Amino acid sequence: MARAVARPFDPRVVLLQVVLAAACGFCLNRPAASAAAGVAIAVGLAVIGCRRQSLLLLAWTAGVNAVCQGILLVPSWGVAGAFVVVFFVLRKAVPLAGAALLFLNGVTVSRLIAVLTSWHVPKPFVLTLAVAYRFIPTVAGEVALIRDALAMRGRPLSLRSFVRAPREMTECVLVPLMMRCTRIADELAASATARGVESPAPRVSRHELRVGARDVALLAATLLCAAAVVAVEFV
Amino acid sequence: MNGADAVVDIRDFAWRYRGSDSLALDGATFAARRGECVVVAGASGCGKSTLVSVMNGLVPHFHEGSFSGEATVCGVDVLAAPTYEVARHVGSVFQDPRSQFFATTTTDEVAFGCENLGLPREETARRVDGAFAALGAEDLRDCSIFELSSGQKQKVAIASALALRPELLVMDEPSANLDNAACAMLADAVARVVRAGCTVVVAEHRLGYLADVADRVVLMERGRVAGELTRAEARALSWEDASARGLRLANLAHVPLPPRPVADGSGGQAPVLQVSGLAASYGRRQVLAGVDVACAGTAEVTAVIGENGAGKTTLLRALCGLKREAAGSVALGGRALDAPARRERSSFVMQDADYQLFTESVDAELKFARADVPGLAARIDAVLGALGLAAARTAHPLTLSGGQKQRVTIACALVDDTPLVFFDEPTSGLDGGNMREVARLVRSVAHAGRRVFVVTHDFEFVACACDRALAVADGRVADDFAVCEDNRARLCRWLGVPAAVGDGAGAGDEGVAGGAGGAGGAGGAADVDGAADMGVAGNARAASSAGAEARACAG
Repeated sequence: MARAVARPFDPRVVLLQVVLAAACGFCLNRPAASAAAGVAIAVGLAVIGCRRQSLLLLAWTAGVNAVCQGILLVPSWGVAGAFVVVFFVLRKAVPLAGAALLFLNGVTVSRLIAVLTSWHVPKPFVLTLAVAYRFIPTVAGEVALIRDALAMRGRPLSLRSFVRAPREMTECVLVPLMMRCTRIADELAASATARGVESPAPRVSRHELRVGARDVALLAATLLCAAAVVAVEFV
Repeated sequence: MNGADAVVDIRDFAWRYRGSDSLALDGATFAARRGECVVVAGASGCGKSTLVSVMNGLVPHFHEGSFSGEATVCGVDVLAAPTYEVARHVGSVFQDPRSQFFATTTTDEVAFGCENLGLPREETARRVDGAFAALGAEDLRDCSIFELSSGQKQKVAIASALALRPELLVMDEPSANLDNAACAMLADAVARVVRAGCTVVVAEHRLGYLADVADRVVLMERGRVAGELTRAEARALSWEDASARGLRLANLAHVPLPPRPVADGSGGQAPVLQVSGLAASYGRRQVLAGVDVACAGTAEVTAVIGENGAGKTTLLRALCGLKREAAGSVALGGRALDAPARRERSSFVMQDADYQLFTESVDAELKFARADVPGLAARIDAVLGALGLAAARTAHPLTLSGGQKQRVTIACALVDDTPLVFFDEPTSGLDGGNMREVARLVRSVAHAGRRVFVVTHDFEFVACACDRALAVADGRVADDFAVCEDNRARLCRWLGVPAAVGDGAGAGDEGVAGGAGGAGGAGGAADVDGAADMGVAGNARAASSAGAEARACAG
């Protein structure tokens, strides 16, 4: 039996969380602030019902920060230097990854369309964004099948094979992926057209966008966490 | 047909896709009455999908091309009216459930069309409730579409179409990616829609699951309506008639199975394979719970059958080395092989060839990752010739037709010369003619000295191509039997198909010898054009000695 989807928060509140989380990724430099942002976003994921993703982000935050601290204890600056840039980038990416997880798990396609329509975003842009968003969960599955096919043809998809033949391996992944994406996009467009997507009538979402008490609480908590992270960064 | 009764009225319609030299529809005339269920059947390329596309306005408004003729659906001139106007009257269900869903939850998907047309929120909610209720699918509300089975997805797709309260529901090969249990679910959904008074037109190859639902079957050939069958006539269609028309049979009792095979070793040689206690898991979920299979040296095609979720595909993936075993062993020619070693000795032909084509030409595809194989050029020449791909040697693989792409992937398996070859649902969505061609190719691979396993739900394909059936249930091999007339009931049970449709006599679960009478005439055509000149040792011809093997598909 397919698992039922829990009633989500107002998508506008979740989108605000996404924007704030992404801003943290670009603006924060202090390790403590990045770690605080990672923890806050992980808690946010847990609150909206994404417990597995929350634990994943917590583990990444803890792991990256532990390694960054550990690098400082390495006596050889040459060895430390080789790793510090990589892990600096990974640490900066924690809030960005959190933003992506919030977006993908906290906002459904239908609610995204509802929000963008309520903001009077032009319909062609809304639908294009919706199709792109709709694709994201399927890309991993498509790449997995391509990976299997390459493995059976004696060209396993791995870091080593990419380092050895980057152009060839990139083509091997992108060509079938683009072919599949083109076919899926065409079929999706036909399906949407046959269901009146080109209608000039204003689109009316079945989701009534209404901020309730729990949304206000989430919004308040989000702003509080953002303020705390900013304080850690600048104070 | 009286104009007042006609929901669909297409007259002398011709259509040419942009860039095509030939007409997809060549003066097609078709009509459907209110409340009817009509199946439009024919070989691939006959124009049935295009005809359905006319009914929902995708031709000419979505697909580019030129047309002539008239088409009125539910009183609307679909050639002039915009698609969103047509959508108020015509609901559409497409072939691939994965690529027709816009939303990520079921309720959002069912509401999608209503939202597009700007219906008030309350009206949308009423229609969504009504659509789920009409199909008895209330348990599918508010679910993630990524966790539905294929049959459930098609049910949701039908609900999404029904939410627009159409007078006509058109479906384009909706069963193409479904197993037999899902087809039964689909047939039930279609029957409910018809009972509710909606007219249904289905473009299909597979007549079996609609045998009790369809009022008539319209046959198409080369873009025109070529004939019509009543429900009874469709059920009574013989194997020979279906073969001649490129159709799949409505009544599987008419599919001939070989008589009991004679173990005379005349089928050629293949490597000995021994699988012992093979277990595999995904995380904490055990999928294979100890599989034991012994394959002697005789060349044979083994069908791997069973319900969805039984572990068939996982078994295939474990055997070919894509999935590491958690326990047990796989030995080939007496030598135990780990997963990487099995991958080196295996070829895997996937259901969708698009995942397996990486280069810029067919020739380059066959040389992919095998540049060091001795005699490669000569082998490639032989394989291309045997598979009818010589003319396409320099073509980009992605420009080929679906059937040609599949043959390229089979060619890769032959050129790689691996002892083990695995096929995953090779006949999904294929018409009768192409199914028989694939069956011939699969048998030729086996008779070139490879051990062949095929995951399939296709009864007709098993009858044509397979010598043996491994039935998988709960992660184990629950049954292992020869594909022959004596085991028809077992095969039907494991494939989840009725032994016969409609008629009571001889249609029981045990012994459908009466139904196989249609097979008697065809049973002698044993000769499968085997390995031809593949440059591989082993008997090139199938066990065509009279009585040893009677195959439905003549070579």
